[in-house]
Amino acid sequence: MNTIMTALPEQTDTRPEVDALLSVRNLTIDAGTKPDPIRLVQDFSLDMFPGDRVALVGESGSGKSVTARSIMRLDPDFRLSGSVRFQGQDLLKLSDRQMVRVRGHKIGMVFQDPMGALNPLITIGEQVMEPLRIAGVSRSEAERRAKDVLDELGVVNAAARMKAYPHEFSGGMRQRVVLAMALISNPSLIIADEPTTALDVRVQEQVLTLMDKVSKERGLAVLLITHDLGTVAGFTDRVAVMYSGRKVDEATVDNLFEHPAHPYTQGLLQAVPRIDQTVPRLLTIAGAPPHPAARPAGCAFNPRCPKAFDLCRQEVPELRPAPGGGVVACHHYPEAEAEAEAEAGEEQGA
Amino acid sequence: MSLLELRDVCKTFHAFGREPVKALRDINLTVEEGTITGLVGESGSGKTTIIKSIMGLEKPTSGTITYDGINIPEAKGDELRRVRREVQFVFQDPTSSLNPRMTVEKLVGEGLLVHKLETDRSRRRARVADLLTMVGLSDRDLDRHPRSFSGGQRQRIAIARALAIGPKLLICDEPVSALDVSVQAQVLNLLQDMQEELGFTVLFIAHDLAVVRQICSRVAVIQSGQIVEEGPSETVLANPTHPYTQALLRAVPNPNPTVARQRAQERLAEEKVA
Repeated sequence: MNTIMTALPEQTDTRPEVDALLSVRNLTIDAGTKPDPIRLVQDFSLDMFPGDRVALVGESGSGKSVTARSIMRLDPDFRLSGSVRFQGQDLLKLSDRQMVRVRGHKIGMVFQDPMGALNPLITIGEQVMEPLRIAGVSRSEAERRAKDVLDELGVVNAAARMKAYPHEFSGGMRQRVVLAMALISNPSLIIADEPTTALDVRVQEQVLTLMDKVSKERGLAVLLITHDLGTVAGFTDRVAVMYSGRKVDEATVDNLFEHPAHPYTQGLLQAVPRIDQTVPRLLTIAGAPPHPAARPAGCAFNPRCPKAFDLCRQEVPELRPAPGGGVVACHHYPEAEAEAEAEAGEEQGA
Repeated sequence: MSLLELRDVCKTFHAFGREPVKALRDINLTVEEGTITGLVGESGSGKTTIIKSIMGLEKPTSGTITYDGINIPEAKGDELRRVRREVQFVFQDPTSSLNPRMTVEKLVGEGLLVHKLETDRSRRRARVADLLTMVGLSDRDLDRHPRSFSGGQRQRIAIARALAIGPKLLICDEPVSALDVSVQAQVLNLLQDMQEELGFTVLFIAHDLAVVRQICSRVAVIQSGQIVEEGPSETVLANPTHPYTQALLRAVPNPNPTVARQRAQERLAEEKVA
């Protein structure tokens, strides 16, 4: 009974956890030196199933990128606890050598700045082939597959352009190359950290369309890290919102946009200027997110929250089922919890 | 009445051994006094060259840039000083546009000192404190350095600094694109409020059409050094006539899942046809 109760609030859909491709449980990330470590992320949990497209939304400092990087264990200085199960294997328990076989092979990664992700002194072809070469694939085979994946991503005249260097490519083309590097060893999950933020609107659109197409055709799961709610709306099925190191809201994309549960999510949606409507004045969220080393007591959002009451300043809210489905960490939704408890009780009785 | 006017401005960059680059081709742009005018374009379209020409940092190959009767590329002495005082700038990234070694008092008060508008130190400090209150900071912040502020607060400091000497024309180069969503709205509202209160003129350079629609009364769209469409922002953004403006508008992500998914479907279909 008790185990059901604790497991329930974490789960946002009814699919069994065993089928999950990626299952993150209570991931907690600390940085800094021992006496006063800074807690960057606290108890982050997320399930992704094959082919799922999930967005992780948050502002700078919310912990979204740190979470994504820690799933891949990219920062050796961070101390991680909790579990990150990928295809049934806990990535946090693997040795560094075993981890190399996961990174870029089973999980592909796309970063924000394509110029920073590419080595300027090595040809495009070599860089796209690299994951395969590390895995021991022969050069001719790797070349053939690199050409195929670049073709798939719409790089015209791929065979010739593999000999070019990154500076000869435009921003959008570079991002295609980075995507090719992530895709070449047929991963089942791609983690894309702000893949379109550095690009112009029209190039942004092209890259997103491409990711859309490729992920649908390959049945690829995508974890999209972004601060752009517009990008989220057209691309993902499910959205998790992070604020100050915690997941505070998670819902299907339609629910999140139509009935945002958390006051922070509501504020974010209202603060974005929209192309399809103008308002006399944009609604804002007062103040700024707290520094991770100086979070307020209680809910980290309480100083900015128009609905905060005493409990919000004392206790950190737990994630609970939200009225419209999904989960939310807000003291304003105790009713949903009571309902869920009643239901669980009934089921137990039956 | 127009405050800033660009007439047939051309700028060609010559590089050794390469084709000359025509960065600006016959730019005609009028900024009416007391309005917020948007200038929209992608990277490489010539937005920065226009700003540099207005600042007098680039001399146009041909054409005139007139600010309140002064031809900027030819201005010297008193005229140039007047332009320098009356035209102020707010840049994209407040972290790099504010000197990290100066206190807020010095940063915001620098213009008052340089233009000899307030040479008395304590009176200057009081003026700066007033300006800080105006942009939503406080006099407690006077002795702090930029690093101890968040991005949004730094942009407020940059705005206070620009407004300190009472400019007539404010040129904002992507002032909110480096800010977080929740803070972006605060800074946009601040700009709008200050403009209504003080009545200055703004040239607002941006790539985000939704932001332009929200705060600009007129908008000009620039593509590879040419203005392709210009007019009231409601008209241009509701019924764009130029294919480039239409393409830009279509590419703006719509934060409505139903509309956005439909757009994604259309794009995939287009992709298949192509």
